[in-house]
Amino acid sequence: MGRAELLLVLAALTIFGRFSLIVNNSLLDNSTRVLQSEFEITGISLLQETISEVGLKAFDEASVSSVPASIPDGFTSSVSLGPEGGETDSSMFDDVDDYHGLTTTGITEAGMTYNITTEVGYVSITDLVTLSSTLSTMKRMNLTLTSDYLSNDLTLSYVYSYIRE
Amino acid sequence: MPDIELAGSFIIGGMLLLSILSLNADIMQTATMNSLDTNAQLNVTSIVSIIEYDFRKMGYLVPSGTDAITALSDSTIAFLGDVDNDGNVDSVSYYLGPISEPIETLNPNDRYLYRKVNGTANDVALGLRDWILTYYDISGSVTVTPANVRSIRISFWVQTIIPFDTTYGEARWEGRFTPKNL
Repeated sequence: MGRAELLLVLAALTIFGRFSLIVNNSLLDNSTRVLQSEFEITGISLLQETISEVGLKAFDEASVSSVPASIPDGFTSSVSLGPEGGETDSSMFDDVDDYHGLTTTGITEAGMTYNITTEVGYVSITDLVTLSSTLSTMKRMNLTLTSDYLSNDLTLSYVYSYIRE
Repeated sequence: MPDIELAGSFIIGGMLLLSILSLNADIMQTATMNSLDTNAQLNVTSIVSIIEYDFRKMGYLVPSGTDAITALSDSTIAFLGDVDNDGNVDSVSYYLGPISEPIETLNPNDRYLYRKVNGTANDVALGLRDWILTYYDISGSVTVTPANVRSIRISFWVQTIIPFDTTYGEARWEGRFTPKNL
């Protein structure tokens, strides 16, 4: 075998090796995406369960057991949103904004570790997205789930409105 | 030496051919497994949409003083609620069929998930490998007393009914429902 043929064989092996690596990389990418989609389904459910849990709580500390004398001025100020003194655990939370600043971590049955951060703030009927310092009868909760198993963070938001009982 | 060159060419050519065949087999295996996993995930989303529909209505229109959950265990639940919104309270239960039931599938561990409404049972999914219900009271502690249940965590594991080689496509899901009327 001459030098030219040898070089041709080496070139062919190099090209094939490169092709093989590209294909394997794309197979791995595909498998990762399939797994991530499973984790995303579960992640969205985890966020939804928080939304449904919070939906059972009072709108504000001032409305836990009575109707505030002044609405919305009687509600908690935007700088005081968060759990009240003594509410050290989410099972003790009694109103929507107690969840403000809450960070929970967990691991699913499938082994996905995750971290959920919660942000609650007032929004207005004209702008249901931007959190505002102005008191209103609507609070928006932004939930963000982060996980090493997901390429992107999952976010879910919900607006709770005050209903006078 | 022409013979040595020929033998060398055969060896190199053979190795290259084997590599191509191996790569092709890998592609086929990955594509099939991804397809099976996606199939299992579709099954999961179908099951979730069905149980979401019923579990959110748990206790709806049930008279005050009557327990909405009538029976519970770690794999079965029976509850009351107007699930079809016709003004009448329905009796709904979810349970798994026996492993031996789906004889037409290749998976020896799959089961049917049954949804029984007012005495009529229908299988709503096939391929359930595991199905666990956990009940929590108002403080978030696990409870087995129906009257104290405020939220229900469901976790399940679905496998495809056919394997690739000996591996089944699978997907897991878990979530907690907090029905408004419990």
